[in-house]
Amino acid sequence: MNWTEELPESCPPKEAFEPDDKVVYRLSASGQSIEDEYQSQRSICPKCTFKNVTECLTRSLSVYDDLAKCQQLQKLPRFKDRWNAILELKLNSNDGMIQQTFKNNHFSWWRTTEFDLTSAKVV
Amino acid sequence: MKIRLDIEQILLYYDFPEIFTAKDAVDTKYLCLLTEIKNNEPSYISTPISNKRLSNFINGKEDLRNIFLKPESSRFFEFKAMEEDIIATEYLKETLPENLLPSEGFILRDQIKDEQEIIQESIEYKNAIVHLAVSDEKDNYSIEADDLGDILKLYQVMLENIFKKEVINRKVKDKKSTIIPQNYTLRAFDSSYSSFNVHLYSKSQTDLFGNAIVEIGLEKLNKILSDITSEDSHIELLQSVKGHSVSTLKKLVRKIIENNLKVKHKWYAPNQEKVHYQVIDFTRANKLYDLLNSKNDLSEETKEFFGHLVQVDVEKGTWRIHNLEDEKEYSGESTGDKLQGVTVETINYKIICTEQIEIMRVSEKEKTKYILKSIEQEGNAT
Repeated sequence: MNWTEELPESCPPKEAFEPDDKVVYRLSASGQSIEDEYQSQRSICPKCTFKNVTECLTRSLSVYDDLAKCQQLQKLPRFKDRWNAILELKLNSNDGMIQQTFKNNHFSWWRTTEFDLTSAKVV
Repeated sequence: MKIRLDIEQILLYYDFPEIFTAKDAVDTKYLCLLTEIKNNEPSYISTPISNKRLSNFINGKEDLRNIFLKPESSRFFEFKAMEEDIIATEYLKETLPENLLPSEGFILRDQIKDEQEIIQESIEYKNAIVHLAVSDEKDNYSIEADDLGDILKLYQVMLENIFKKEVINRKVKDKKSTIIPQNYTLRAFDSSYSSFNVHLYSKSQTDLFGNAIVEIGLEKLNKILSDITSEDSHIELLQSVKGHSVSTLKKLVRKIIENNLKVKHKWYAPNQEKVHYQVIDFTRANKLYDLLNSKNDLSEETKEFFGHLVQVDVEKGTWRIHNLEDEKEYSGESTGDKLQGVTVETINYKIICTEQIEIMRVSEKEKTKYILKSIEQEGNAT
């Protein structure tokens, strides 16, 4: 797979799987599915390190498979009044690999270059 | 004023840890909230929080905005998290401006009703908590010491065996370092009313996301103790842990039946969405006991030994092997001519046998019998 960014060894982890028409949601500030909306922690903050967050996770994107849980995020100070849109994505094996992490409904997505930005729709 | 904070648990993650708990040098807990990312630097605001309030938040009983709008100590600390070592500086205003506050209505998750105590305990111990309540027909918040002791012992042995089986079933990597007493033994720390209710905590290892490894055993145990809605699917469930777990379960349900006891099993761990709860009374125990007895092979499992034979008696159909993996000797029985022509001492064999566990009626002790299924030569013994 051609990943959008360089991944460390054993990343994605063996627990990750190829999605099959998996519908997930991601916040958007611009209201459009553009490259800026798909930036991982590592691409935003090259030096950030948090306890219990592996280098592999920092190179993934967070998505939710529950719209209401994603909408909840818009109440947080970092997102409120700015990240007003939500993108709906239907992920398949070409788009990368995903793993359920942290909480139910939250997935980490390691994205491939094959992911088609125009396939996302604003909900 | 500056303080050093250590991340304890990430409660919400979205590309970055959005909300997490941390503690300072004197173990005071803080709730930390990501407020913005500017010039590639994430900025956080945090406030000291009591275990009670934190458990209210985790349990969906308290709005996040309220915690930062009306903090318990009227103190805030801010930091830019770039490295694991967090140095936070006191925020010198008594109230936060609107841009640092969440909107009204941020609830971490749906509320679990009437379960404050067990949730709070899991926050304190940062691990799985079990409440095991035992009552007899008197139902007066007391219990015979013998009955309580037996139930606790059987429960612990059952959890240990189920945990070990699940580690293998789920193909957990590093099996050896996972199957250790720390991961399946529980320690009692409190008791309360509601029958005689013993509170136990686990010290099991936790993964990156805060899941305690003991949860895999507790989840399976909870399913096994649940009401039987379909005999076939319950047997399938029991098949997956057959052997010692099932023989201990038999002892437990027999104890409940013979003494007319009621056992309430409740457990929770920090990342669980709900508190798990099962009640095993005389009726449920009887149903389970009948099911356990309907299939003899539930107390059997397949065992593999590798090493040289120490003794063989073809006529009597008995054998003894020195197993190289644990350097122990095991003896068993055989039928037919499977032992014909085998050599003792000098050749290594791989032996596959059925392990049958029988419970002695009077002493209740387990007797393990190994019945040879196949034997294969695997080279010379050194």
